[in-house]
Amino acid sequence: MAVRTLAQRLKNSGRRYILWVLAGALLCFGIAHSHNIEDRVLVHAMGIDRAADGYEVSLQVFRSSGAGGDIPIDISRSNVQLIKVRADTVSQALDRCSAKLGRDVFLGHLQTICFGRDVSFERPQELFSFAVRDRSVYLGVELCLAQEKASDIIMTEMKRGSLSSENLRKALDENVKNGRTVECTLLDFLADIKSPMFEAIPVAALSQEGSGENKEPVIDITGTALISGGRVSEYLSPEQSFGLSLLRDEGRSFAAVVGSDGRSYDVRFENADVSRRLCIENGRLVFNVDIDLSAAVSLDIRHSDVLKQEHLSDHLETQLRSAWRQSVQSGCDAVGVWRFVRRKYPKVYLEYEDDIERLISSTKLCLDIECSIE
Amino acid sequence: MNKLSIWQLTAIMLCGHAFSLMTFFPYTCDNPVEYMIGAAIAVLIEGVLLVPLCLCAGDIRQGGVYEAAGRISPMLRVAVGAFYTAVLVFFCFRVIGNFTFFLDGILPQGFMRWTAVGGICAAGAYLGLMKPSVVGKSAGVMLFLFGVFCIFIVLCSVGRHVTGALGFHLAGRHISSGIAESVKCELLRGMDLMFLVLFLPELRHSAVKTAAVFLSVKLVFVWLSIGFVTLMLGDYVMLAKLPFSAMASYSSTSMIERFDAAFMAVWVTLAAVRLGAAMHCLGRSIRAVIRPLPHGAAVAAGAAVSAGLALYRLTRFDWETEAYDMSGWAVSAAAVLAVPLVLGAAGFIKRRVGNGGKDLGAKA
Amino acid sequence: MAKNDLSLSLEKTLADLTELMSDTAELNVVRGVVFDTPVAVVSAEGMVSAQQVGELVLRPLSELGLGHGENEKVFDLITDKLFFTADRKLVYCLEDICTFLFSGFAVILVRGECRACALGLQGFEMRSVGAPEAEQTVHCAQDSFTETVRVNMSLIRRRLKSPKLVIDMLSAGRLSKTDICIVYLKDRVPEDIIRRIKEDLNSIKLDAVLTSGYAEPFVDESFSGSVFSSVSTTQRPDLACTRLVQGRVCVLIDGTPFALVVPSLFAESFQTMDDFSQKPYYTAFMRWIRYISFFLSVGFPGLYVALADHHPEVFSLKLLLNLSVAEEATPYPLMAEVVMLMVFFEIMREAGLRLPKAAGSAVSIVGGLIIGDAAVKSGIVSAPLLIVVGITATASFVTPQLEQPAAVLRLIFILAGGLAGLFGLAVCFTVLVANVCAMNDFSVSFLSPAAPLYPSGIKDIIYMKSFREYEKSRSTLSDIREAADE
Repeated sequence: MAVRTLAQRLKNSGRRYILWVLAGALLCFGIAHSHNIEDRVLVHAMGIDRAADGYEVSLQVFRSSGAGGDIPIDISRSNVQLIKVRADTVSQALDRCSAKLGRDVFLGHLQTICFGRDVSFERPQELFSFAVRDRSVYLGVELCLAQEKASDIIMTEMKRGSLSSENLRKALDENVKNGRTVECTLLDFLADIKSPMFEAIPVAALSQEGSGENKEPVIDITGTALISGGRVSEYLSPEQSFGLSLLRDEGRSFAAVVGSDGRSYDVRFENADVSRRLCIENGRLVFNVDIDLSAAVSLDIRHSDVLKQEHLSDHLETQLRSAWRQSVQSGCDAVGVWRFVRRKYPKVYLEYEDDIERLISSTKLCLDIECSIE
Repeated sequence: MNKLSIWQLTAIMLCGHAFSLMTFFPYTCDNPVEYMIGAAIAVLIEGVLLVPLCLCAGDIRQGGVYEAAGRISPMLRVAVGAFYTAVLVFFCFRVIGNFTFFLDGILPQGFMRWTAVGGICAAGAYLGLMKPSVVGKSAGVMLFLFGVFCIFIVLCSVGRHVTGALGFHLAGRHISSGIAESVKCELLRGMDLMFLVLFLPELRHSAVKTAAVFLSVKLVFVWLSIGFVTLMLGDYVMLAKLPFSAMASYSSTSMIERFDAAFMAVWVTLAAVRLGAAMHCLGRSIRAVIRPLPHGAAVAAGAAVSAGLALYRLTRFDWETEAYDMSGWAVSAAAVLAVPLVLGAAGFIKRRVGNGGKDLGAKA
Repeated sequence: MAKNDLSLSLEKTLADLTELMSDTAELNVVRGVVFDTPVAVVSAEGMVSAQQVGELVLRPLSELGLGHGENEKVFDLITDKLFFTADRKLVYCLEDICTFLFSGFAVILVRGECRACALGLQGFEMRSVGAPEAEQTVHCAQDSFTETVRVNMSLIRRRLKSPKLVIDMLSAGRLSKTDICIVYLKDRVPEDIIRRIKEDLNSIKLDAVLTSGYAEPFVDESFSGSVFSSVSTTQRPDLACTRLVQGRVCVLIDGTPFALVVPSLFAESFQTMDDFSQKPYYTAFMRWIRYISFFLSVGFPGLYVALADHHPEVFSLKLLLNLSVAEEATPYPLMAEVVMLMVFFEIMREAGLRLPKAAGSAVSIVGGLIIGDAAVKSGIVSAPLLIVVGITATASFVTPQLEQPAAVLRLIFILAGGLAGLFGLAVCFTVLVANVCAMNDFSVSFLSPAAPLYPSGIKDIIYMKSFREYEKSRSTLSDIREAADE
C-alpha cells in the first residue's frame, strides 16, 4: 500500500472539517426556520375590491371536506374555506388573513385573481406589491374583472369539481380558447409597469341556474374590459372579443353565427394562422393583419353556394374592424400596436411616447382574410 | 491525467459566468438588446485584454504565474501573489454576497444569512481543496446538468404562447449609457477569465485556442439565454429582480407546476463551482505570499476572510448597492491584463539584458 | 528462523516440527524405510485426502523400500523418478513445512536431507460450485466463485485460455498466511498497476486475512476518503473474465467467494452480465432503468421532503392538496417521518439478512403489517410517504453494488433536504460530485468515460454498443488513460 504521507492525512482531515462546517450550517439553516407543509394554508383564488379605507380581499383557501377516509379529497364537495378581510393595502390584508387562519398564507398555487369593478389600476406597483413581495406567486395567474364585486364571485362555493376555484379558472380557459374573451395574466400587468398600460381583461359574472332548491351558481364570462391609463375604458361583448383575440394573435377557434340571404348559419372558425406587421405608407402607420383560417360549416350547406368564402371573410372583417374601432376609440391599444412601433420605428415611438394613444388612433388597419370552407 | 482540457477550463469559466448572468442585470439597462450589444463589445474587449497572456503564455506555463514572477524576482512573486490574493478575496466576497442576497429573492421563506454563507463557503472550500482536474471535472458535470435543465425548460415552454418577441427593441432614451453599463457588467462578470491565467500550467492545450473557444461559447450562451428569457417574459425581463428565476417559475408541465425551485438548485451548484475554482486559486495565491502554509490552510483562510467580509457587508442591509455597482470591472480587467503584461514586459527586459540585447523570445 | 533449519537427523526434524506446531494433535507422521533410509511422510489430519496419501505416496514408497541406496539418491529418486502428484514443491525450512501442511500438502522427509518434498494432496472439505446468490442473472452462467482459491483460478482459466493470462500468487496475514491470487492479462494492464497492487498486498501486516474486505482497504486508495469504492467485488467468474478482458486486475483471496476487481468505474456498477445476452435496445432500456433506480434510491426521499416542506409550489395543485391533507393528520414533521421509515427499512433489511431462512418470511409479514398498514391507519405516518419509501426500497435492490453508499447518501440527502430544502440538496450534491471526481485511483478517473469525456466509451453509458462495435474497439484502462490525456 502506498505510504500515506502526512500531507494526505492532513488533506483528508481538512476535508472532514469542512464537511462538519457544512453540516453545521445546514443544521442551523433548518433549525432557525423550520417549515412544514401543514403550517401553510393554500390559497387558490383571490378577490380584490375597493373599500372605503383601502381594499377588501376575499380568499378561497383549501380545506378538505372529506379527510379521514381512504381518499383525502371528496370531490363531490367544494373543499374550500372562504375568508374576507379589509386593510389599507392588499399585502396587509393577506397578513391579516394569515393571522385569522393561524397559518401562513401560501400563494404559490394561486390560480385566479378577480378584481372588483371599482378597483383602479392606476398604481400597479402598489396593487401588485403582494405579488412582487411574495416570491412564490405564479406569474401566469389569470386575472379577471368582476361585473360588480369580486367577493360575490370568490365567496361563492361551487359544488362541481374538486376545488371551487377550478370552475372560475376553467371558465376563463374555455372562453379564451373559444375566442369569447382574451387571456390576461399577472405577467402582462407586471411587464407594463413602466410602459403604456393598455390591457384587456376578461369580465366574469355570477348567475344562478336551475330552479327552486336545485339552483346552482355558475360563472359566466360576459366579455372583455379594456383598460387604459389605469381605468376601464370600454367593454367588449363576446362577439367583439373574438375579433380582438384574432388581432392579438391569441384565439385559434371560434363559433359564430354568419348571416347570408336573410338566414343565419352556424360556423366554427378553426386553425387561425395570424401574421401581423407594421409599416409606414404615405407618412401613416399601417397595421397589416393577414389571417388564414378554415371554417367548418354544417353538412347540408357545405357544397352549396348559400354560404361562400366571401360571406365568411366579410363577417370576420366586420368583427375585427368593430373590435379595432372600439379599442382605438376608447384610447386603449389592446392589440399591442405600440410594441410594433417600438420595435420597428423606435424614433417614432420615442417621439410619441407620452401621447401614444394619438399615434395609435391614427394608425390604419389593413386586413387580409383568407377563409377556406372545410 | 491531472491536466485540464479546453472544455474543462471552459466549463469552469462558463459555470461562473452562467451563475452571474442568471442572477441580475444592471439597473440602467432598459432593454435586452442593449445588453446583447454590450455583451458582444465586452467579448471583443476581453479578446484584446487576453493578448498579453497569449504572448507570454510560454513563461507562465512553466510552474504558473507565481513561479514565472519568482524567476524574475522573489519580490515580484510576493507582489503578484498579494495582487491576486486581493483580487480573489474581492471576487469571492462578491460571489458570496450576491449569492446570499439574491437567494433571499428566490427562497420565499426567511433564513439566517450566515447559514447560507456558511453552506456555500463550505461547499466552495471543499471543492477548492481538490486538484484543478477535479475542479474541471466537477464543473463539466455541473455544466452538463445545467444544459439538461435549460433544454428541459425550453421544451416545456415550446407550447406556450410567446409574447415576448416584441420585447427586442432599441427604443431607449439612453441607449449608449445602457450599452456602456452592459459592457461594464459583462466585464465584471468576466472576472472568471483570470482562471485562464491562473490555471495555465494545468492546461493541456494552447491558451489562444482555449480563450477563443471560451469567448465564442460565452457570447453564444449570453445571447441565447437573454433571447429566450426575453421571448418568455417580454418587457418584464428587465424589471424582475431575478429574471431567470421568474422565467423558470413561469414554465410548467402537466406534472411539475413550476421550475423555479429546480432553477435555484442549479444556480446554487453553479455558485459552488465558481467559488470552488476561486478558492482553489486563492489558496495558491496566499501560498505564493506565505510559502510554508499548506494548501488546505490557505484555502480555509481565504474562505474565512471572504465570508467574513461578505457577512459584515450583508448585515448592513445595503448589499443592493454593492451588487449593482459595476465599477469592479476595472479590477476584472486588471486581473486578466495586468500581471501577464508586467510579466511579459519584465521577462522581455530580463532577456534583453541577460543576452546582451538579443531577445530570444518566449514561445507559448 | 534460518533458511536451512531442517536437521540431517530425521528424528530431530520431526521433534522440531512437533514443537513448532505446539504438539498439535492433527499432525500425522508415517515412518518408513526406503533403500535402508528412514523416511517420514507428514500430513495434517483433515487437510489431506487419506486415500490419496495411501495410494499416491505410501504405496509407491513402500514398493520402493525393497532395495538398497544412499541418502541423496533416495531423495532424488523420490523427487525425480516418482511423480506422485502434479503439485510438488521443495521445502527448506520448518515454517514453510507448516504452511504446506495446513494447505493440504503431505511432506516427505528423508534422513540426511536438509530439504523436504511437499506434495499437494488436498482432501479438506470444500463447498461445491453453486449459483451466485448475490448477483443473479437470467440468461448467463450459474456458477460462482467458492472459498477455495484454486477452484476460483480454474473457473477463470476455463474461460480465458490465453497464455497471456497471468496468475501471480502472494501470501498475506502473519498467522493466516492466506493465499492471494492476482489475475490479469499481461498485454492489457499497465505494468505500474500490477506493481502497485502487489506492493499494496505485500504491505498487509494483519494477523489474518479472512475475507476480501480485509484486503480491500489496502488496495483501494480512496477507501476512507470517498463514499464510493474504486474496488468492486464479484461472485461471478464470467463477470470477472469480462473485466479482465477490459484490462482490470482480479484479486482472488482464499477463504472468500468474492473476487476484487481493480480498478472499478462508477458506470460498471450499472452493468450486469445479462446485458451481453440481450438485444442492445433492451439493454439500453434496462440500463436507464438502473440509472433511474439509483437516483430514486438515493435522492427520492430527500427530494420529496425538500419539495414538500420548502418548495410546495413545484407540485401540481391536486397532488399538493392530497399531500397536505395526508400530512395534516400525522403527529411528526415530515422529515422525522421519513427518517423513521428509512431506519425501519434498514432494520428490516438487516433482519432479513441475519434471520435463518426458515424465519425469513416472518420479516416480510411483520414489516408489512407494522410499517405498512398499521402505521398508516394509526396516523403515525402518511400514505404518500409510504409510497415514497416503498419505491425507494425497491429501487435500492436494483443496484446491489451501490447499496452501501446509497444507504448513507440517502440519509444525508434526507437531512439536507429536510433542513435546507433544495439549497441543502444542491450543496450536498456539489460536495458529492467533487468527492467522486477526486477519485483517481491508478490514474483512472472513477467517472470515466463521462468525466473526463471519452467519446467512444460514452456510448456504453448511454446505450449498449453492439458486438460489431466491440469487435472493432478494445476499451481497456490504457485506452481510457490515453483518452483522458488527450
